[in-house]
Amino acid sequence: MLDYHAHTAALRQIRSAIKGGFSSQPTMLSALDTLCHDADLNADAATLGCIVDIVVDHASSDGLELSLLQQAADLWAQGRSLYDQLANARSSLEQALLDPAATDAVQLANSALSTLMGVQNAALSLNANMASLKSAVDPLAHIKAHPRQSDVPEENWGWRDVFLGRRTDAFVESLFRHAKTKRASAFAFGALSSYSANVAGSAYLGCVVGGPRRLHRFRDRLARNSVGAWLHSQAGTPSCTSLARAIAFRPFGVAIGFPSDIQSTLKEAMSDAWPNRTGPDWDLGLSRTVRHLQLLDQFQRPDIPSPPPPSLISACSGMESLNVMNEQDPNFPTVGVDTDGNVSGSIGQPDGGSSQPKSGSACLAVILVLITVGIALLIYCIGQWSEGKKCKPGDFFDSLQGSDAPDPRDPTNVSQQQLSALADPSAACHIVNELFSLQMMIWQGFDTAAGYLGVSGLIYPDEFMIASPLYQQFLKTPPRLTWPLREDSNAATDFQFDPPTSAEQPAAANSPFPSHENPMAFAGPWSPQQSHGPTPIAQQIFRVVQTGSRDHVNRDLDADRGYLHPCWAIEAGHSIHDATLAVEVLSYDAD
Amino acid sequence: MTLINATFVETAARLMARTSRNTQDDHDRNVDAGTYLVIPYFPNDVGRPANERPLGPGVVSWLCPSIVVNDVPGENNFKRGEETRVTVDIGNYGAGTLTAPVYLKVWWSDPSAGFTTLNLFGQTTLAIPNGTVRRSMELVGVIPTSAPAHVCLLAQVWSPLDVGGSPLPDPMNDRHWAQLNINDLNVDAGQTIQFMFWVGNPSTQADEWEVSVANVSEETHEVVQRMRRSSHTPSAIHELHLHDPRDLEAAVATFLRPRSTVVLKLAGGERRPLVLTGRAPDAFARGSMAMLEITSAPARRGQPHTGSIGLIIQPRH
Repeated sequence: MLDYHAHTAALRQIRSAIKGGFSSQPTMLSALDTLCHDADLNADAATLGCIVDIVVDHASSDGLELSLLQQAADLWAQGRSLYDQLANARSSLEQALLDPAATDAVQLANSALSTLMGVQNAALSLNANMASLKSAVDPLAHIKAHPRQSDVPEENWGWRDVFLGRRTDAFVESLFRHAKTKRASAFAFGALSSYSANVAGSAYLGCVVGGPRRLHRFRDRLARNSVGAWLHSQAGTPSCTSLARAIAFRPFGVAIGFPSDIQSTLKEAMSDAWPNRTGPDWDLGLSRTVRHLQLLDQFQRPDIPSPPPPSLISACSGMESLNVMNEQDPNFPTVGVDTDGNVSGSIGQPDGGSSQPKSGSACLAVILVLITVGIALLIYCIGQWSEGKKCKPGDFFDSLQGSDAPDPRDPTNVSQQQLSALADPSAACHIVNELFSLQMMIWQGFDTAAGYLGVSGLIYPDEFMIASPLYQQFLKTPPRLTWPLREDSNAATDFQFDPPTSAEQPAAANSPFPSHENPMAFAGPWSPQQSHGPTPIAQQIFRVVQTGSRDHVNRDLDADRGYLHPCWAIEAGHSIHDATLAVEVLSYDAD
Repeated sequence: MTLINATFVETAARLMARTSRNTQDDHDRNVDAGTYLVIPYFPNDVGRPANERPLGPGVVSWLCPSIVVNDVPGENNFKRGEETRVTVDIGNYGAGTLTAPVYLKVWWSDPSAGFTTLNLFGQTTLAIPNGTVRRSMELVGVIPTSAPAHVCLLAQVWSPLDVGGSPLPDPMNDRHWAQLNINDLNVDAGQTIQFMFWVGNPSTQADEWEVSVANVSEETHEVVQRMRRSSHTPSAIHELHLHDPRDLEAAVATFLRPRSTVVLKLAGGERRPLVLTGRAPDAFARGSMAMLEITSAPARRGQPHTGSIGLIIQPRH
């Protein structure tokens, strides 16, 4: 199953290339011209159609992932506020120290001190909320297992897995048959793209992951997000915010929902394809999809701090600072790159079999603690320097043990005289270095948080994260002699590695893509010389729709069992965990 | 003010304790840190202790190719009083998926082996993902007309999660520091060369420092040629001698008994001038090049070098 960006890139490909296979068939070409014209006029409906699988997923989900992402976005916003406050305090204090005789210098300094105390409290609060989010995210419960992998009968599958694994070709064909408006036709065109992109793109994902979503759901999520982020950067797909705006239909002007013409087309197509199932709540799915897209763009890093003013740091040599983390913290995430450029380390610390893969969030907690203590120490030292005394961190820590009362030595306000003492080069350089160091540490905290959310599969890797081999491994097809690789029992902690398992039997033909291909192999511009990709799949379906031919197949949209594999089931009396799978290819009408 | 409990304080205090100044603990760091910065001296230079640091004999410690002045690699071609542009390449080999916010400072100094006086040339911040090498933006500064004709450039990097790192310059041993301490001289064949430089004791303790000068190896000639994209015929300077310019007797001894190694007793933070003299070969034709390396180290046996200067001598056209 692809992500938003892979789907929109594939839609673009199909839109520009689908006519290529019909140059000698004027009737088909004319019908395609009409369809493409409808899709261009109703581009938003086509876009909605191309992510119909994701809408289905949101419609039928338990809402956990959205809830986690919302919590993460709220904390991110809190962190940004903290960062901006510290930046303002830093700017004010630097200004006051640069010209302590200025009329507003004392006011600036006091304002900065007051802000610093607020930042300290905010960091404490953020730390507590982070711990709560971490405990919710760590089990990775938002990345659902495929029910087939637990031998759950198909009638008990949720809509996401039904939509990806049963009769979706029939659904797409039916959309075309029942589309009565140009907008509904455009939606059908988008759904055609969604289906075709999943068939081809899932084969790409399966190749880079080592197996389908069913067998490696955590790696699949990372791969999906890596491919999507890369395509957004390289193919210039719209931002998540733009996509949200495009698909946020409000048929009655208020609540988000499907326009009635598309809604009725959907109902009829669902009834044709899955007559024995009650369809998902489409409006709920759409509103959640819009919300998801909006949240995904909430995780923008702040600008990196600018260095302190040279004139204020000249009295300090090198990087003397009160607040340098000089020892390694054992909870730092160690996954990433070794000296040979290979993915190394372990994402998490196994804890009695539960999934606790994200030591990065523990690192963030340490950073927040250090910021809190660092600010307290800085305020203490400012108090000392303002009196012309030396600042000894040891004295500060000795006095801190178990005290909850405000420290009477902490300056709540500085006078002009005290400010002048602070502006002495030997004190000023320490203050500005310390504040700069704290701001750099908060920036690092954002990076750590982004890393944690990325590895948890909740957000796309951004331009910095995607440089890591952790994500890069999914942007180039490896040569695979055997495929798919069986489920890894340590997947919850080791999903950054290629699966070390043997091939599931019978082995399948994985993907049509040669090795060392990036995601443009399926989502980039297509030419008729290429035999594989979303476009030829879309062309075939369109041909069937136009001619009424029965030469059609419901393909597995996870490319489970390989590229273009039809929908399938395990034969009755057998298990998914058999040494050799008893694969039954389903007939076109099998639900 | 609400204070955190004693456990956090203890943890934070431990983490905030200063362990700088080249402790053994610093040198034992491996690359499993969240951030691991290095200013590369050669391809695949990761800066690991006992591997890439201290800089080995095959590395030109006074010519870091990551520091580039005015777009010309391998040279320090600044003009006093005029705008000078400097870029620095910085690697981050941390073992996580982090991106490091990195603080870069570039300093200039009198030509010194062992730095005690630094002048800030420029500074910037940049983000460097783990496993990558990134080039800083151009730092633009002016080395004043009051500076000596030859200066050394030092680059220093810092990031919040990068452990270790000396606050004092130590390019030979500390991956956070690198230098472009290279001086070009042009002389006539057979002419006496004279070069004044400083020897400093960057530590706080008094110590004896051994300073030596020697013609570089052929291997170093090749490395420098590669960096400068030039070719030349290696040559050598004769009668190398070091002396204190304030010591007239030593100056006279230049002609009687050249000594290419001296030992100086320096107080903590003290620096002293030395003069290097030598004689260019009688056959010193165009296309030839001699290179000298001045090194300084604590005089105790087995101590690694802490300072070095490179001199490139070519025939005057």
